[in-house]
Amino acid sequence: MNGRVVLGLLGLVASNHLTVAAFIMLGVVIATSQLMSVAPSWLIAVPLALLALNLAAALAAHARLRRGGLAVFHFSLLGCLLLVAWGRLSHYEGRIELVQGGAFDASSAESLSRGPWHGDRLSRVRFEQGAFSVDYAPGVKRSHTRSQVEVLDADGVRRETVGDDRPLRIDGFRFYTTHNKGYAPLLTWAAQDAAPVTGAVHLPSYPLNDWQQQHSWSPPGVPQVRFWLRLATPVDEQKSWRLQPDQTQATLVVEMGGKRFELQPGDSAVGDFGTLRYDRLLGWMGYRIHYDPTLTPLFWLSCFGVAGLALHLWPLPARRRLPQQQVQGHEALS
Amino acid sequence: MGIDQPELPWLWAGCTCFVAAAVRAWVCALRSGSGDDRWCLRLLALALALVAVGIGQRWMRLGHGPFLNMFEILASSLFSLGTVVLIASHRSSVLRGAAPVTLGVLAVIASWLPMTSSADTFFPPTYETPVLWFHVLLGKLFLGFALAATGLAGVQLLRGRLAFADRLPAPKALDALAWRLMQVALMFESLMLIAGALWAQDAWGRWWAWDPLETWAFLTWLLLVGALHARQRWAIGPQVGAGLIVAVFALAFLTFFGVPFISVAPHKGAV
Repeated sequence: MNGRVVLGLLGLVASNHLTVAAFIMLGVVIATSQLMSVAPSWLIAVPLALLALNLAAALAAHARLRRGGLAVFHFSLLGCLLLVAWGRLSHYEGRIELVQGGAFDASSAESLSRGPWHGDRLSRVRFEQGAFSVDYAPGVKRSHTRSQVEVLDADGVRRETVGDDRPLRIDGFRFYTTHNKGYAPLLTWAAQDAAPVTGAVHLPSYPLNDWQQQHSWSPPGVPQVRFWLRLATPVDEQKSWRLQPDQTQATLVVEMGGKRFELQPGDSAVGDFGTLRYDRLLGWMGYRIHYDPTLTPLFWLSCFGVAGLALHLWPLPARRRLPQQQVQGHEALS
Repeated sequence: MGIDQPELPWLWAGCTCFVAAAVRAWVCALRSGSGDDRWCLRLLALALALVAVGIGQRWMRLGHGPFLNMFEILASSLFSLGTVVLIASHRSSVLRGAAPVTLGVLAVIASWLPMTSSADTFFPPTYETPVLWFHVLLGKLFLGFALAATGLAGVQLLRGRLAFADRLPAPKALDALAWRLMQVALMFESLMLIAGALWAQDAWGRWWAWDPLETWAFLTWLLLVGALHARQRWAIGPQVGAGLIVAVFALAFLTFFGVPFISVAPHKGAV
């Protein structure tokens, strides 16, 4: 009796009606999310889970699905669905800004999305930001980005060039450069009776915000200090050019304690509360960080599945002859 | 125009030949009751040659293939779909008989092309990958096979109304061939999605982000797979089956040419 109930239930879940219904449900959810942006993203998991259940039951209930190319295709599809679920549980997406000469610090990364099984793998990543350059085509169209990094791993130090299309790969993570980057003046603040402090100030993204390359900073116990960066050569939008922050000639205009200073690298502004030295001009680069361990198996499994579909479409000659014979019958007459 | 963009006269001449081929196919179909006409194929071959020269000139001038804006996508699709139709028609008299429908679709694209902006495009670094070639090629093959199937489906739907449709094979044989072509199209679309995901992973660090083009390409895949399952489950007849094939092609057409038209560039925001 119990066996019958189980078989009945299996037949119900394995039903082709349910497959079509789940397809329609998935289509409606996706179209709704796309057109109205109201459906929560997890909602898509419901029809996908239903399809996975339906597919697993169909594979158990129908022997013909477990034969030949159709079996390869459907098992691969089921595997892909499971891998996608695992990927969502263990993935990580984030971003970070790194100044030239600065080391990657996982605690500074902003997490945009992470699966509950991700853990703290990011803290094991070690690399240091070097110089970078970005090519621009006429019309300020961003072309190649070349960001130098030094990776510190078990094999020692290795240098790599990273770009939008060439990620830095460490411990399963991928770091991509972004359009978000800019200038970062390196400053040293020396207050009376205190040790000098050196740090870089990230100015707004360049050239997106070329009209407001300014920032402010309040040293401890000191009124606000304001900065403007004035480039020696403004960008000619009609020509191609290269952004290289550490090679750029620029004057740092500082307003401190009601006084205005125009500093070149190495110059200092002396105020009532301390001295501010403009050491040099550097750049900062914004990275996107991605982690998903399922990508490679997902790729190969999906290729395997399509190979199964091809096997199903071109099976034994006897099976494929029928429709062609009918058509050829007509062609003989035409 | 002529000096800055020397490819345009070639492309406009090619478009004219596409439209002429479609008009010829329909005139023959309506007059003699047969869509099978050799002159249509000759006009189609000439159109393809002219468009190929135009695309080649633009390619050499800009230094990159026709992948970026609507103008380039329409031009390259005209070439790829026309090539599939030409080869298919050359090999099968049944597909040749469906020329009024397939050439009609190509004539729509050919008429659309001159209405789009032919402005020069900038090739982003994220497009500099061999995977892009596979992705685009697989997409073109998918749409090409779907167009061939739609030609047969269109003929199926015209049965009883126009004489040329009645001269093609019996409904069941035509239906079987059309669905066989759709199965091949499904294979190429699946591969296109996989290659696209691989490219997206390397280019933008995500394999899938539900951008408009990805979403509608997946919905097309879903509709095609759903139609195949529904056909198997409910033993759908040739007429309804033809309607389903036309629906899948319509969605694919909107995905290929509607979504980039709305969002200006394919995968807008990701470039």
